[in-house]
Amino acid sequence: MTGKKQKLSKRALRQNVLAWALLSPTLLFVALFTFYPFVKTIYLSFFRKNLTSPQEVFIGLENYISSFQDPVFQKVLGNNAKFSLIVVPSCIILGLGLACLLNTRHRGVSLARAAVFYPNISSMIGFSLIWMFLLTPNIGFVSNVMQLFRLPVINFLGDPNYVLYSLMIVYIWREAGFVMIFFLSGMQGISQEYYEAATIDGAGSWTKFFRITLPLLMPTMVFVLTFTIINSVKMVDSIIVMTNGGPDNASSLLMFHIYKTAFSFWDQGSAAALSVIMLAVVLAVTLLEYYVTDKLTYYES
Amino acid sequence: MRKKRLAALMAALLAASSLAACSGQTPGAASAGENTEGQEAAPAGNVELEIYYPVGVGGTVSQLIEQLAQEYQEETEGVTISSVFSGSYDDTLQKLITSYQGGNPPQLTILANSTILTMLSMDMVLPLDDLIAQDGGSEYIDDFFPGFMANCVFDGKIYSIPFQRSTLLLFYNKDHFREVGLDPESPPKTWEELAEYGQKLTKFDENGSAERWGVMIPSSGSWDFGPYVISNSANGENIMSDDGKSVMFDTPENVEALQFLRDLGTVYKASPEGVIEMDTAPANFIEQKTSMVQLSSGNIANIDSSVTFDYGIATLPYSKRPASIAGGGNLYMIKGSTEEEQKAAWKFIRWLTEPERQAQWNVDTGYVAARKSAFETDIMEQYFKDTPQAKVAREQLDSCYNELCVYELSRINDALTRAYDSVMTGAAEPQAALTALQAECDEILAPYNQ
Repeated sequence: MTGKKQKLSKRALRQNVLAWALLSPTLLFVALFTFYPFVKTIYLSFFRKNLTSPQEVFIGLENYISSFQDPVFQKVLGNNAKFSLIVVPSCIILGLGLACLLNTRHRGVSLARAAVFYPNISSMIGFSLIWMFLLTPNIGFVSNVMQLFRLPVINFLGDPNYVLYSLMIVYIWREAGFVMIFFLSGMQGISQEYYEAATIDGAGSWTKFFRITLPLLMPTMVFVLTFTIINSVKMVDSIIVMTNGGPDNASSLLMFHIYKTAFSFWDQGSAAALSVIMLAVVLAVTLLEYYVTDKLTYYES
Repeated sequence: MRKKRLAALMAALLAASSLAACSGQTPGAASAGENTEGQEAAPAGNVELEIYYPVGVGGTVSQLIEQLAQEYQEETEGVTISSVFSGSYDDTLQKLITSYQGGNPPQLTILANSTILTMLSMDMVLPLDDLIAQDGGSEYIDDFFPGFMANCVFDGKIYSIPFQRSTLLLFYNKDHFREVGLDPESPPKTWEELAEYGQKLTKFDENGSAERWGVMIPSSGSWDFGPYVISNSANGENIMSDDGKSVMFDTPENVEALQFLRDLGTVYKASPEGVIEMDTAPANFIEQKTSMVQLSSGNIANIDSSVTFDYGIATLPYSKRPASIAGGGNLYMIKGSTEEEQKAAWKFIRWLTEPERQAQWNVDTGYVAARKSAFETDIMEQYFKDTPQAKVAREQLDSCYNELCVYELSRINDALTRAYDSVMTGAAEPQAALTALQAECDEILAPYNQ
């Protein structure tokens, strides 16, 4: 018995060595670029490391306390809540609508799909610049069209009342196509038999959508919700190009605020604390979302 | 058996790669290592230099730097220069700090003149006094305009040499001046005239929205606001103290200056209300959507080749005294290089700042030549004949003050931009905004005043 067991474990060991060896390149990269920065960030968040003290000094929770007391951070949190609350449902409704429209086999549909999806594969810096010029008062396309209809000129990116909404439009324009692709693939996984049965029973399109498509899309929905929420907090590139967080931080979002703290103010301790806070917020929101949607989701199989 | 060998190989590879990844290097060790490598690969005595260069304004400046490096390499034996384009000034600072902390910094870099205190905080910049004493001396240094040298010297040591320097100017559309009956040869000299001319030049459609604005002064923080502060301050004081440890925002004169800038939009209706983006300001001028615009001299080449109308350049309008800001980039040397590299880098700096080369640089880019003797060259004489407007940049150098240069510069500038924006958008009144700004800045700078 024991001999066999030893032999077995030896074989298992040999197999394990090979498995570990094959896994190791990936593990190494994950460890270097994900786990190490993660641990280091948490570690750094308890230290003062900025221009006044380039050497790390342990200060406990001071970075966290001062972050929450910072009126700029409070404003940024508010901005981001507003941004996510509008952008996430908009992207999902738009993406779902587009997916329904384009889930046919007519001629030209793939061209339309490509047109909706292309913002996602083009350079974010490039299109952000183009949007910036489109929205510039007096010389921009949008303001010229508005003037044509005798509407007042709006300084979309220079007015704190409009700037966040302007960024939302750019964001939705980019993200809706991405969301659509996932819903499309989800829809194509739904068996036609359900629809045929529903047609025989005399169900209309709306009934079919709400009774068949939507419930069967719920697993996709959970996934899409998760990544749209995370992406809406991570938005940074368009802000850097179009507004730099201004005017008066009206368009500053979490990730941008962290970027500025770390690489413009060189306050690495505070930036680390902010990153941990962001991680906690995203994790909490995602868990809540999982908890709620999981109860509503029907997994096929 | 075969599998085993494969596994062993993988494990060995893994160990080797992780070892390589873990070997942290200090700046000194890295450059020493590089040096030996260089000697192996190239003929003996060859020095390899690396320079980071940012581009602060539009145009083809990046190609020009590559050309200069190439040219120098060809005419100088034993030196190879790799020039690395590094984005904006901010991007360059990020790249530099990262490479410095990673132990592999370049020997040379071009960076904003006001970055000096951030670099000193991180102890990464090399004082140049010894190199200057050996080659050049005060004869060389005194040839630079004092306004450009101001942010180069700190605590009695010289840390950088002016290179791609600029100053703020007022660009104006002469055709528009003629159209509304203003003399195209006499641009506004004072604040009152700026407001008055701006008002005349603004055109509204029947709907009440502006077809054309009189003037645009971008909301960029200290860069565009600085001249208004210095021009109006009681005795010509700058925003900050000389040691860079305190700022003076909360003064009645500054409140006046900020009020004036807001009034241009709200009272005189000569300028759009709210925040004016610096990036789109040149386009507004080129598209004739504004008759006057305050821009860096670095825009001269671009505007000169883009406009379809007759334009002029003027010194900035003032209240108590003429004042503009000296901006742009300097040449810095980074700690961690060998003595041999430092000497070679210094020779390259001297070559880059020769009067003829500075003059040519001015012609090609619109950056103002930083040396007095550059203006006595034939190149400049010809340039002023072809582009007489550019003479104004030289005239303004006599009333140029140094750009905001304080510890925690990014934070202070960020706070100023927020305060400025809140006043321009009507969210706060000038006095209240500047009082709050002063308190915020005092707190940021408190650790430096203990």
